[in-house]
Amino acid sequence: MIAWKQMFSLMAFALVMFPFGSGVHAQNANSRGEGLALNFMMPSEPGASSFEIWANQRSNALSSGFLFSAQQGGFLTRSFLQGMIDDHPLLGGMGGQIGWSKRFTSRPLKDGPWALTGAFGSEVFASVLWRRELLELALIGNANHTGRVDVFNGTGMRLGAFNRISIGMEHKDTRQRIELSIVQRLAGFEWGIPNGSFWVSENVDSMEVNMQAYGAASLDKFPGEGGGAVNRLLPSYGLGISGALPLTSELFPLQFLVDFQDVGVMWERSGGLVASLDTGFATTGLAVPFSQFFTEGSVNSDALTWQDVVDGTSGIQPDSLYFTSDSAHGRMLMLPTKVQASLTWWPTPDVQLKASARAGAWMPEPELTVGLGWIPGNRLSFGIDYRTGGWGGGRPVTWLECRITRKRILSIEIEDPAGWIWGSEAASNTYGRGVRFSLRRIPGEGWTRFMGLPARNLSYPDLPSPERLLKTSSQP
Amino acid sequence: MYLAQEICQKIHMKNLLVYSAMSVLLLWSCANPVSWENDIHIPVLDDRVTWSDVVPDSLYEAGVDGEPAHFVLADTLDGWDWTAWAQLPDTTISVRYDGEGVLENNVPVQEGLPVALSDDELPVIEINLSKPEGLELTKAQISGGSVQILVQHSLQCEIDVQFTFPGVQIEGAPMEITLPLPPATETSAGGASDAIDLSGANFDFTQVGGFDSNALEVQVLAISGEVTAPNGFYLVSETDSIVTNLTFQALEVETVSGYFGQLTESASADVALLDTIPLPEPAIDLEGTTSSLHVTNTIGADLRLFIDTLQFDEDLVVGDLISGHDIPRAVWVNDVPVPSEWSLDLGGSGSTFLDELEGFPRSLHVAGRMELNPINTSEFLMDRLDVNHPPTFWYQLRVPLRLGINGLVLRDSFALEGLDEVPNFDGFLHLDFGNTFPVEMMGTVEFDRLDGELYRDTLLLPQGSVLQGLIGEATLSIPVNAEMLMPGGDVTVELKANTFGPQAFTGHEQVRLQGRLEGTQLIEVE
Repeated sequence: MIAWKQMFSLMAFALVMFPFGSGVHAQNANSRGEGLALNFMMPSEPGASSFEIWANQRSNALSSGFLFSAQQGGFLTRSFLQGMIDDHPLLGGMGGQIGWSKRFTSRPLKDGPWALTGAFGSEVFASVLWRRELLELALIGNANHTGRVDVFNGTGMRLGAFNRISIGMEHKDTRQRIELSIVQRLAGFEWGIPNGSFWVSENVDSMEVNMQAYGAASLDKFPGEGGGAVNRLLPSYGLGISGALPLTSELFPLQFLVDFQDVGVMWERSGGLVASLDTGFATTGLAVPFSQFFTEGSVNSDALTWQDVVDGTSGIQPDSLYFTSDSAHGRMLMLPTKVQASLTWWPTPDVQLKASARAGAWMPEPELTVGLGWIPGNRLSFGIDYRTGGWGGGRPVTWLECRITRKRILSIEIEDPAGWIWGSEAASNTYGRGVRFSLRRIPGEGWTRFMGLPARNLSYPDLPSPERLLKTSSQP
Repeated sequence: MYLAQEICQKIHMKNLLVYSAMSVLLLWSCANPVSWENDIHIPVLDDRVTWSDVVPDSLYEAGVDGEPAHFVLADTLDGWDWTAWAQLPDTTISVRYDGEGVLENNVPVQEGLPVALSDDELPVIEINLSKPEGLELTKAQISGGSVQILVQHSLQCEIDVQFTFPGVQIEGAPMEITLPLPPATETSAGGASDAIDLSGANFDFTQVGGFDSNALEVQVLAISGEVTAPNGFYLVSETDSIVTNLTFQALEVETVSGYFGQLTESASADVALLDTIPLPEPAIDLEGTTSSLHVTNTIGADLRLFIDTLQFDEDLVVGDLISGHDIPRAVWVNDVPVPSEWSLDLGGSGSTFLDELEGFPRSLHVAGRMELNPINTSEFLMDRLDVNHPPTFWYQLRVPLRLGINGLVLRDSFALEGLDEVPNFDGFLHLDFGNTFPVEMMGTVEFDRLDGELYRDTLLLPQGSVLQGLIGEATLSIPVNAEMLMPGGDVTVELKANTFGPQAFTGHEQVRLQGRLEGTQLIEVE
């Protein structure tokens, strides 16, 4: 464990030295040929680095077939919609992310065990949640369930675009890493219904509606007042902690990794847009001033009538039902934290078993993954995973890793591959799609059967000698 | 710097990434218009037709324990303005002290000494009001008004004159008025004036010997000031005088006693009975009907009411009631009136009042006269009035709601404009009727569309019963779609009822009309 004082000193040094360190890294990479590196380990080799880009979209309720049909347009039949509603969970959701990240790690500082590491990147999060009752009202109507209270609680939408940069230290042997993250939310929008309900009695003789809703956007003016311009955005900033804790067994081919990113808070600046709505009404229907037929117009009822509505004399001012302001108070929010834990086991040199759990990133529930991989040689590995949770239910994930140079691995992971066949029958029952490309530079020496990953399976004498393998490593 | 530049570049790249992603999502989601059907059931209408829609709430009393309701007319008749009787007309009284009378002549005035007045000949203020005729006041408490005093004299010396009215008490003391009068000259009188607020003053008009009423004593003390005559002294002559004018203005009495004289005031009133459409073939069972005229007399004076005209719509009521009716006076106990109650049964024998009422008149016209003190009792001086206890003239009519009708109760029509764009709705407006009136009703809705089509539907609404908790229910379903709404046309609504003779109503009956819109809305999203 490194002392905090020492850690801050190293981080300050890293901030100053990062440009130079990066230059050294590039120089080494360019000047070193693959053939020259056999059985050669530089005493102060740069650490791992990577570049990743990813995008995914998933829902637990809206299948690709449904979305494709909606996209194609035309008339959606009742049976089609009813089928979707029947399979719909109580709380539907759809989310997606798209982003990129670049990580770098310097040589160990002063030949010590710690190296400067950091990452920067951008990511856009989108999250929509809705109650099944709300969707049923919108698509089917209330005719088939009068007498039931339709609850809207939890419905909402969030959208945010984030930039991040993190600087910290990484142990050259254990690959344990700790970083300080600075996160910028360039733009954000959210809207939600904390409390809402709709009810029509079974005999359709009374109705009650309640609605509490709010909205906020990081614009300093409303769109109609020039708030749509980019220079009207109100970025917010936050601080967080990121890091990784890889633990590799000395006796068994097991690796356990905990990785977390941007655990911290963000201070949303004041001056943004805010809106709220808190209203409700109960009615058995509006009266018709039939009374005027009898009393020749001497109606003294204070109740709202249809005549008032037709004449525009209801006295209800729409502006009085909601509140809007472009001077919202500042507030503190959680950063879009990501936490992941994974356990990998290589029962044989050719086979990899992996289980992981991931949470955060605005996902409504943790995402669990179990998978099997095959490593036929030292240049290629591939596998298939089963993933569930997050934004949706179970789906397959395929991945392929290809060692394009002695120290560089190109990886591609495709989540729910059938989902990418947009519009096909095969994709109709999928609920999303995702892809992740990464190019990783791994530290260490030589070609290994395990794609640069450590192995401790002593039952295979043809493995490289243990002293040539890294004791621990971490995936970026 | 390198790091900062790289970060800025990456952020710029990110902006492009964000907006590109948003644009793609929007374009993707709006590729083609999509539509679907939405089945909605919504309550849209709830109304009740009750007795209060036919008869104002103040005109009927709902029945209790199953008893029939009563149509009740009870109100005051405001034909007479009792407060006007408490206002005294403005009056000016002139009192003269001259050298031939009170003012002793051939007596020189001396500074600091009273001007010589003969006590034996001091005048008395007599109140003589022209209206009411024969008014004799003994006492009065004034709630508002004032007296203005103007004094003029011919003496060539300054005078401080002081008037004292023993019969007028203000805050427990006799009213006193002091005026400094400038000296007169050879050509002009010396004079001054002042005004006194009489609010709260108590007048006693009986303190002057020999007078029972309408008299006030006034005491005068005039002190001579500096003599201004050219020769240095002044001798009062026969032609000298001191003249005092008292003007009572806007006097309002709170209580007054004496004899109020004789006065006759005419009045008339119109009362709306059923301000509604005529009921078809109405029948009414007037058993238990009471109708009466009341006067609560709080005046300590006799009244005589002459009913000259009693008329329902165009029909005159005849009978013994069209005559004069004596109303006894109130009795005063400890300065508080004990009113006398007087009533007249309008439906008494010989009266056609109830007969006319059976014809469901819409209005009642009453005209008559009220005579004050029809018998002269001036010698007793026993009339009294307290404006805080005004008399009340009121009437009451209670008719049990046992009505019978047969025919068209309601017919109304209105033009429904055609709609250029009708919402993509296809369904029905279901009108659910709930009837607790003990009468069967037949409703008809006609929609004469401008395209020549006629839509007509009828509804038979069974009778209900409040006492038995029975609700007659029926539903009328009206199509609501483009075919019905686009052409426009004339809508006619009719409601017919037949009670088969007079029926007793409790006043709690109602027809509840609830409307629910049920159908399919086609939703289109471009």
